[in-house]
Amino acid sequence: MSVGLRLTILGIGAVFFILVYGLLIKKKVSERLTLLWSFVALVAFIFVLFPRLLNRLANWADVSYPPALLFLVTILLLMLLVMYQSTQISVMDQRLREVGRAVALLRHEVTRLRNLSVLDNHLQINVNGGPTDRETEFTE
Amino acid sequence: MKTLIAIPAYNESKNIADVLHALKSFRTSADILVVNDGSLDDTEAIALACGVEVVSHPCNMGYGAALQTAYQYATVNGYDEVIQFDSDGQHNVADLSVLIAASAEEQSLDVVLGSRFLGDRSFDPGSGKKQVIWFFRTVIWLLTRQRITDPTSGLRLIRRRVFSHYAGFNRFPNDFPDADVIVDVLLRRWQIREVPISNTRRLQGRSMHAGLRPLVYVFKVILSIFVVVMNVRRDGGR
Repeated sequence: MSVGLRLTILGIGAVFFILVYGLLIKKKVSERLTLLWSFVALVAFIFVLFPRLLNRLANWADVSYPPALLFLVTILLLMLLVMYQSTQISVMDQRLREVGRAVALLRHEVTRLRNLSVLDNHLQINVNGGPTDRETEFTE
Repeated sequence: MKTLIAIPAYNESKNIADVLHALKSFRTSADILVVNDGSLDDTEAIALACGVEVVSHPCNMGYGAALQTAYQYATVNGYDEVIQFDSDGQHNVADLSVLIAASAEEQSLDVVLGSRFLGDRSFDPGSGKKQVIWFFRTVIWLLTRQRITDPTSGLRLIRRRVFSHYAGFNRFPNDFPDADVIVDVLLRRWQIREVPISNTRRLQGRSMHAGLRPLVYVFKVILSIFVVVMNVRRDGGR
């Protein structure tokens, strides 16, 4: 690997790092996911800084073309990440439905209580033969 | 016995009034609840005009989610049994008395299922649906050794012990609570009985099982049954 290529990859990695931590500061990505992305970037950094490590690993895994091993590891990491995101979406979906149900039931309860209070007001008017304090307040 | 008739409805403005009028003319002490599942048409307004209780989801969340809302409502408001009734006019109001009678007759029952195959022997749901029903009948029998003739029937009476359990978070399928729920109920050793009901076709509008959806339905329910079996084994049917 030439020095120029290594520097380019290092530069891309650094930009990626800054981007992820920028998103974290803006609260657009969670701490947990930042850790995960940092781990991915760290693995990439290690291979750029120690390119022979990849050759050694490829020899050990009996892979004749070392970059193929790098692609394999990258694809596996990305698949893991996508799977994690899928689980998060499913969890969010369940929670969202629960919140939706709670909103629907609470809205129904509010309407029922509001109707009851209107009815209560009417009853008070009939019993007292005049407007209640609340009615007077509204008319004034 | 405090009974709630729960009607999940999504874009059923053409059918809901007829269904509600039929239910109201049926002499029963049961309360009626329409769960409007984020309809884009006038379903909510029509149901309110009919003088029944209406709970409206803020957006469309699925048939199962609507039923779960009804279970939560019934749990909070102290109902003893919930009768699920479709909003498309497929169910015959007269069949309610069959379900209620079966429930009153056998106090140990937890679920009463309406079966279209026990009533009218000539009932033909169509070749595709017939195969799906046969498939799920077989699956239920293999898993529970119990014979259920109509695993896709939507007309069901459910007692408090069961609906209060399914009212809990993440305990009920969101889309198609059919054979998977029956398997779950049977594996938990709750008592089910099927009673004969009649069948009519939906009055107007589009079915939620139209188009390619039956295929999705089959695979989703198979997966859901798998999840049910694994979970019941894990928690010992508690």
